[in-house]
Amino acid sequence: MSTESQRSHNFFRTVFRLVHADLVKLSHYRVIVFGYIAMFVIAVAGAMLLHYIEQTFQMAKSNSGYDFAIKWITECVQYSAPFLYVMICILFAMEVANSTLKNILTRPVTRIELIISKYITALIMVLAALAIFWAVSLFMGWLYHGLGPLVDDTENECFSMAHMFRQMGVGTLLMLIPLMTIAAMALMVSSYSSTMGGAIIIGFIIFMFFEILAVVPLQNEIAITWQDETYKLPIKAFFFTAQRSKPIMLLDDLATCMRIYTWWTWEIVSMTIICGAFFLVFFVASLLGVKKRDFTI
Amino acid sequence: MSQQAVLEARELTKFFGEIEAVKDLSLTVNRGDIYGFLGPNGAGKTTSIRMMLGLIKSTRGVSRVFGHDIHAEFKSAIPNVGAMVEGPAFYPYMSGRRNLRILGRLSGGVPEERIDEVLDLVGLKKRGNHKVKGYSQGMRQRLGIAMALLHNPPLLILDEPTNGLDPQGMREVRNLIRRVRDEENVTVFLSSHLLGEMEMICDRISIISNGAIIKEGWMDELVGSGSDVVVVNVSPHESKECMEFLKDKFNASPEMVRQGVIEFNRDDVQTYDLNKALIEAGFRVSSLTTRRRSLEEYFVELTGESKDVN
Repeated sequence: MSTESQRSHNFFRTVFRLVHADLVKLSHYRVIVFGYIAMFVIAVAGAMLLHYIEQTFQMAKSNSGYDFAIKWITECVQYSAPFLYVMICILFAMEVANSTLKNILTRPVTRIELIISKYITALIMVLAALAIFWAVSLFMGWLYHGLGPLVDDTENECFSMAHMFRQMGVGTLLMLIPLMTIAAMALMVSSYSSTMGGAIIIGFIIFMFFEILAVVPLQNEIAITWQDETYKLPIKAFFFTAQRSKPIMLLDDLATCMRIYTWWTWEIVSMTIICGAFFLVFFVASLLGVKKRDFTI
Repeated sequence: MSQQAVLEARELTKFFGEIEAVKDLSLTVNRGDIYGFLGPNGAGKTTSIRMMLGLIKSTRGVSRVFGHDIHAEFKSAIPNVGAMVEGPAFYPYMSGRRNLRILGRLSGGVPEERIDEVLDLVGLKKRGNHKVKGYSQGMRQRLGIAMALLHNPPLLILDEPTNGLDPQGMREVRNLIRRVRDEENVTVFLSSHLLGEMEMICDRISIISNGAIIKEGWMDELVGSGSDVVVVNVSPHESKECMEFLKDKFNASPEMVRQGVIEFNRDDVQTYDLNKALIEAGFRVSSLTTRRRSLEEYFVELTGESKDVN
């Protein structure tokens, strides 16, 4: 094996070990375990409440298990973002708070490997949350309306079950873009803080700043020309946390028998550009934070 | 026989803003040493150790572990070191054993037998499966040492390992360090501001004050070989007269340790002459002995009285 490939082999092996160690630490940390249990309980209780409201009040009822699941996962992704944000803040902040960074950094682990491993662990945490939400939403959708091929009002089959699951898979992958940007912000904040409380409080304030500004009706727009067409991007779109609902909006249409011809719509492109830019900034800042900082012991 | 240098620091310097925390620090630790790094609080011991371990970058100078530059060849250098820097650190919500497993994994994998071995070595075998948050301070220090020893490093760096321990705990840690050196053939670099501890355990020491090493050498060379201080026991009510007598007759600078016990540097005084003179002068001498100068006395000589050293 050449020196270069040996080096990259060692890099991935070390990152894998760090991620494994992180998962062991998190699975024994009550706050994280309770966080996931809370997300599960809220997902189940919320789905039951949604069904009750649909049945009791005059409102658009879900016409299929998929419709119900997609409606509900939209809500889950909305409410769970602050939970996930705080949990990912803890992921790095617990190392600083317990002074265990010095244990890690006096082993054959570089700071770059350390921060990359935290990003991968954060991705696993986000995927675990999405898995819980999909599992609960689809189960409840099946329970109340049944799954199987999607049919329209005249009982004609619109999409097969496989098609539905494939599209939901794509939507989930796209949802990772804004959710991982939120995770990057959490890791950046916690890589600069010296206490867990500080990381959580400051991180939460920054998160809420983006959340609140996203709902302010700012009228200014930026015109962008793409594929010979001019698109207008409202300034409030730059408050990226709200971008997390965009992939689900397309899934929402799918549940009404509207075919998704392309996922690469302007909505998704703008989401990718905005979140990508923010992710890059947060990633570089967290890298610099971990690399340059002298963690006071 | 030439000794193998396991840890070398050359002209390590660290500025925090305009404050020069460590100045041109150079030292060499050879294989098999228990090397003491002695200095008052705030002298720059921990900063130096952090530079030696690559936890912070030095403004100037290099640190090498088994010949590997700690920054340029970090991955070759660091597996040779087990360290506990400024107290042990763990995940308190997990057991001692699980903490060791996690750290073992980061060290490239450590078999369960080795975890049992180090837990046994530090006397935590029975408590290994209990959560760390229930451990006493002494148990935490010992677990910290177990963590440092886990991957069989040939060099152990311990920063203030007896901090916060009672005398019994300090004794346990001292014995443990000796055992580690003898049974595991580990070279130990030990930093402390506790002079007594250093004196009891170290072969070689360096003394750091205001960020600079002011003395380095073998313990015996620095504090003398055994008869540098004369201790005279006389009748308590004769203490003052005896001190005056010693000043006049032997040009000594005696100190009264307590009523009836007087000490002074031996210099050229012959004990049989002293004994004869005291008896002839009518003092009731109950004993006259010599002892080795303590490290504390040597330290005060070097750095002055008003230092934060116990």
